Amino acid sequence: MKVKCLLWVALAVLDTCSPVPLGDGDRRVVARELGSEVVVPTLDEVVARTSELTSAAQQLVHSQDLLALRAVQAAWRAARVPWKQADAFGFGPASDLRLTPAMDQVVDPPKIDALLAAATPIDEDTVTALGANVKGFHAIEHLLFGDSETGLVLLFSVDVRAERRRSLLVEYTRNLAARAVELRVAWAGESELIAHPGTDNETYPTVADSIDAFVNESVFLAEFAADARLGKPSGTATGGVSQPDLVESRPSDNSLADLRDTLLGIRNVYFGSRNGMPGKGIGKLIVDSSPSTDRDVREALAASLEAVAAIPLPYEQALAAHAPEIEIALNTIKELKTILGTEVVGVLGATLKFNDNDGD
Amino acid sequence: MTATSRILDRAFRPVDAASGAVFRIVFGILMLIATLRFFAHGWISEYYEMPSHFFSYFGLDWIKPWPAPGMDVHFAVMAVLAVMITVGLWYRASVVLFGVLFAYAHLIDQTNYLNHYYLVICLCALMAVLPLHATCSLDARRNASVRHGTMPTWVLWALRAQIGLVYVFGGIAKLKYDWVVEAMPLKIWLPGQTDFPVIGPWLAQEWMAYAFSWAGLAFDLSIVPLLLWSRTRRHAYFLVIGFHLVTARMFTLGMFPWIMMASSLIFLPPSWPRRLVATSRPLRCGPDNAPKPSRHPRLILIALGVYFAFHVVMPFRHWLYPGDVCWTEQGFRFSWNVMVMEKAGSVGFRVLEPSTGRKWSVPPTEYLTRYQTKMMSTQPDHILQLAHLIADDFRDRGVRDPEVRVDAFASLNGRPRQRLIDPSVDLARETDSLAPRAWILPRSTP
Repeated sequence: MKVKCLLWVALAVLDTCSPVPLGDGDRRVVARELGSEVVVPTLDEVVARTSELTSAAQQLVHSQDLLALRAVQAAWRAARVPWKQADAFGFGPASDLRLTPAMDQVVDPPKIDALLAAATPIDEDTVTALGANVKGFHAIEHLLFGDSETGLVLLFSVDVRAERRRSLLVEYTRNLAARAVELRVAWAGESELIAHPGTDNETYPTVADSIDAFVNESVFLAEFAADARLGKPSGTATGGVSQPDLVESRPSDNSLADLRDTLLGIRNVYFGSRNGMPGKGIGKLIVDSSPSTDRDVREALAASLEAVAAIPLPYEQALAAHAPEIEIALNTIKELKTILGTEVVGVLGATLKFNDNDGD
Repeated sequence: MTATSRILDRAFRPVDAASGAVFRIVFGILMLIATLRFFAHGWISEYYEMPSHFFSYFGLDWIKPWPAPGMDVHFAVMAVLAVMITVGLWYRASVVLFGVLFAYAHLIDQTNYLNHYYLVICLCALMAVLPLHATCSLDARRNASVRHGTMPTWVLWALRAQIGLVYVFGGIAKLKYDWVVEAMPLKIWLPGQTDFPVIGPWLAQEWMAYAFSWAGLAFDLSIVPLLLWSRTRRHAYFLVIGFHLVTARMFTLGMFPWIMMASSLIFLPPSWPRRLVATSRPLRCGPDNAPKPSRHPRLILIALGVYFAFHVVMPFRHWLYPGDVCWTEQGFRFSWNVMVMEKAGSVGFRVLEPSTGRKWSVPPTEYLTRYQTKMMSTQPDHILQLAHLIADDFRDRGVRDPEVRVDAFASLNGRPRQRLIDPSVDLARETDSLAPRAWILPRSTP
């Protein structure tokens, strides 16, 4: 009897001490909101933009004029915006289904030119069967921006080679749009998994696993952005000799826009919204535990975006002519990575999550 | 009777060998599971085939993974040996060989260090000299000279001491400001467990972190005496089960809780398995003959004393180094620092060729897997090893006398980030040794 009474008293005390909604909690809310407010809307936009890119390419086939070419180029840039923001959730289906490489791999231009020169029919099956370095965003970029003026003119001339080029462009954009849909569909399931962690969820057994997936990806991405997008092209890996061939979207000179959108993707995950206003993202979990860390992250994000915007275009020329601006941007993004990788990871206890081994 | 005689008399007094046999059987089963998990999770490839560099232990850089599929074979042999330990076939040879193979596999890369791997190695070393195959084993069935119903009491003491060390030093490691006063790192970890059954919704509250911190500390420091005292033993063992089930569910601890729950059975009265089985059917494999008296009883006790003296001193070796052991990690491993910190780091390397002034920025991921990078970023000795690797690599590329410096930041138990390594020190010139590392910056935040 005494024990029972004590148990009831203990339960009553626990109940009165509970400001957290039972069965829910901040992290679960964040896991859910990141899916519904960031991941899904971003991928919806990727689907919409890649579909518009396909329409623009088809329009070029019909009108074959410079205006139509410019429209396709603009559609390509527009599709890059949400796509690079989606870098911030490059885990899950993006890596498991190898969709990211299939859509955004560095291409091998001679292979594309060889395909154009060959006699094989250009259709959906042909493009689907192509390797990742012969299709995707950068293959389209090669056709739209990467060739000489003669090559671009070929897009709207009337001979057989031009028709083949236009067909390949349309099939490339169709393939890209199809992969975008595939990714969106796959993420619909992944978002559900992330939002509903539990013992019956093998991928995200705890809500900490859901949150950690986003945090760890942001840390990795900030480092990758600094080293691969700014560092290596500016020569940090070659003793100061710049390497323009390592610039990501070199033909279109879209590299800095890509980098800006990658950073915006990290910001979106941190804020939990896509409009730059604080929502229920990772920052929501940080601000209560460590306001100074939250302030540091916000400042580092803003400083990184500002530093990237301060690098003048064209980027290839800036590598030599504006090295100080590039170095500032590089160091600023590295600082962002350091804050994310130390304090944010530390505050959330997101360590030891790159493998699934024991952790004693 | 002198004190020494009394100790000798107590130590060699025969006790039922049944609990020793159960210890061997359960250990073998758990080792089989632990080994098979490496196949099931793809860890053999992840740990031994994918990395191009391994963080070696001091003086053990000759331990390397076998060329593929050598490590698969290595683990397959371990699985077979675990079965042989379980059934007690060629027990001593099996446990020695298993221990050697287990140690070899886990000494390849410091990245994968876990306290329970160290415990398994210690247990294998100890079990190799203990007659845990005296009953319920194929050895006992095949060989009458092995077959005994009893074993000397010191066998029980040795196993209890080995398991007890984990709890006691696990508790001592928690006697730190962060754990006791700040409830760290549980204040960080528990809010991520709000979906824990029943108590989950309260785990985000600060008082829970304190409750868990203090309860954990009290458990670690008191459980051994509670298990040793006959009046509290039974309840204490249920406490062991409850504690480890909760931590197993709450944190990613893999085999550790199960090894501790199973190993702690050794604290029960030595004949508990017979009593348990007798309720349903008699234990068939328990002969009655006692082992021959030892010819060198003093030698056995001295050897045990030396062994355990080493294990008592080892966890305190961090006192030889300045600073917080969780920050410098000098003397951290092999000391039962179980779950005592949340540490995150970020590291970038800079290379300079002094003669030309050429500079390079080197991300660790160029040499390491993501997991290795993550683990390296908080451990100064890993950072030093990678600095040497980078220097060697740049020398091979034709860079003359490369200097390697590092921008390493870390955050310990929720503190703001701070530099872990002196950025002005050329790590390529620093040699690894057991001496204090002057290039580790002291933790500046209290």
